[in-house]
Amino acid sequence: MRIRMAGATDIGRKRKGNQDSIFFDESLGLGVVADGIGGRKGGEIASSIAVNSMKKAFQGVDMIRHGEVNSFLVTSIDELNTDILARGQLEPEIEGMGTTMNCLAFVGDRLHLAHIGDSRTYLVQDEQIFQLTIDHNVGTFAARGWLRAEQVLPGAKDEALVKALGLGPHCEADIYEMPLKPGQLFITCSDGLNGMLSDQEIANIVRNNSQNVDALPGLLIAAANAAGGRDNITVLVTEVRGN
Amino acid sequence: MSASRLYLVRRDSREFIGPMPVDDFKRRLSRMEFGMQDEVSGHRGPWIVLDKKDDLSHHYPEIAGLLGDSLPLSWRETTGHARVISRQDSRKDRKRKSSERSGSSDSLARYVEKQKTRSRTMKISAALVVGIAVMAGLVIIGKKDDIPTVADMSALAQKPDPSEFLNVMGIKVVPAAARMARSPKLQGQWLPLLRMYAFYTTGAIEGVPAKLLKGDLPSFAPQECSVESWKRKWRENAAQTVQFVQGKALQKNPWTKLLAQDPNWIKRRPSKGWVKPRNFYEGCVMTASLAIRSISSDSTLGAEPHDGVTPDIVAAVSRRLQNQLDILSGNKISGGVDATSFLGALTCFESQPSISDLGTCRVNADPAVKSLLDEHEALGLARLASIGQGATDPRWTAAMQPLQQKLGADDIMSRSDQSGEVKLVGYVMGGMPVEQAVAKVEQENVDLRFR
Repeated sequence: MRIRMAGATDIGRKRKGNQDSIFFDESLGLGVVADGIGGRKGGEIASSIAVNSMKKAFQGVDMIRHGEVNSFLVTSIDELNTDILARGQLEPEIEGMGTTMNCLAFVGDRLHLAHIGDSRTYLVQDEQIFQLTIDHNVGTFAARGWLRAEQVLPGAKDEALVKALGLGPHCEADIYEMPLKPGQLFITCSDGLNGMLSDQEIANIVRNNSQNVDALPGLLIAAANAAGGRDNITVLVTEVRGN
Repeated sequence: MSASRLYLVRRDSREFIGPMPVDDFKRRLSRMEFGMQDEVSGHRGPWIVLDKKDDLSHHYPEIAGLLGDSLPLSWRETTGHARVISRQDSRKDRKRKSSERSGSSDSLARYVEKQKTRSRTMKISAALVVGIAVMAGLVIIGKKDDIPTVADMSALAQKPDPSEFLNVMGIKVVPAAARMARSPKLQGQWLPLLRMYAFYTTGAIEGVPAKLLKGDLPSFAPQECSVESWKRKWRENAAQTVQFVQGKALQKNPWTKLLAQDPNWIKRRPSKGWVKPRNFYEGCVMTASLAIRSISSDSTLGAEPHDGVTPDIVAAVSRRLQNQLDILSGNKISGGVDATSFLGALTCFESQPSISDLGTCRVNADPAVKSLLDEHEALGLARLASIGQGATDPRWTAAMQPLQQKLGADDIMSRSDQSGEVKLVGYVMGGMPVEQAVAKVEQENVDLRFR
């Protein structure tokens, strides 16, 4: 399958800096979006380490087979988590930095998706939108029964992250696979987008501009900013085309 | 919205099927491509587990309707005897699936080829199991279409010789394993037995996801431990592994992490949902041992010429794995302890019965790998303390003091969690009697068993 990628990142309207990072390369079949954890120093460093590490990992392999992609993702994520922790230990002022990450690897006719944190990947197909990733936050985990009330610190907000890179030595990303089909659109974003726009609003913008993939990231970012732009906004759009 | 409503299924929390219209959903459900433990989502809708009827009726009534009276018979039958898929049908199905897949890209064709190879390996293993049983004069009891009960198979699993268990499982249970894996009720009952069968044979069962066999484990655990995956990982990391085996560098890859793992750590962590092996990590050592046996008989030793793999390297790896298995099963070290090599020194620290014996394990190691030897020495001292050996001996404290820092909360190589061992050492060094320290650590870490 051939893919077409387009992406952009924006500071938003309220934040003083952009802690999101993005990388995409159609020839590598790789797209990465990371959102440095706000409120912690070094969020931008953590997100930058995340996307650069995945970029280097994929640039370092000549060929990768379906059966190897998932373990490759797990190993690479494990290593980049260690890198973030090690960097924090070297520079006390950024110790504790963390980041979310969605990494999309398109291999042959399958998507391999690694996800940790609350950045999202959506699938839009036949004008219908599906959220593929599960937000790794207190609200979602509690609703799914994965987190008991006594495990939640008093006062913790629903959006507080349960999993992210850099939070500890053990990080377990969700790894998904999906067969690709021409016409599919994958929207990967930091929470600056889905925090401002509903899934329906995102679906509407995509539907109305699905023939113009290159413009979509900018249009979605503009809409999120128009809705308030409370956080940094990063959007990566991947269109699946036929062979 | 112009098209009919589509539904996306998340199978085994790892794979998406769809999106598909409801008719397609019904067809795939009837073909058991997914099961009641899997989740479904519609346009803009939440993910709902299929067996949560109320939530499903609320969000996706169209799907809930399908799962009512029209639920395929095979899905409603969650107790009692499962349907046995005949070997012939199963082969036909595999053939059909392969031919369906082979029309796509080159990399997919390679994948299909690999699946075929795996299938051949499984057939050979099944044939071997049957052969062993015939040679042992075993009789298969029961009608061909009957699946034995979980209790029957659990009793067989407890026997010291696994041949009969493997034989009956291979013929009467494994053909229905894919169905069991997708039914939550059956999965709960059969999973420990399926795991035992898998790790005593090839580390995999067709139709049972590797992730299910593995269970919910931290990220440091290997992703998959089938014999085939070990052979593949050997080929991919051979040059690195050679350096590690020679004690020249702490290269990190699945093989070196496994070889570096202290089997006593594995032994202390029996897992729920496992009979034999006691956990996934032990299963990984077992299947790696089978893989290296296969690699040793391969004329290329499973690697490229420039990787530098020699028969001596393969023999050293084979011996190390055997020694890990010896320690796991409480047997004497096969061939005796040989601390002259790097891997031998690791085994030495893991197995010697006293502080003075532990002293014989120290070798003149390359500085690049010394940290791992130090860690194993500290683990050896912790092991001795936990079994009441040496902790009251001033030599124990004298030896442990400079090493305590080497015993990090995480293993140097695999990053596996050693916090239980670290706590034990801390308590003992703080003057707590060993019995009390062990009891306290086990109380604080409910899954940890020092004895």
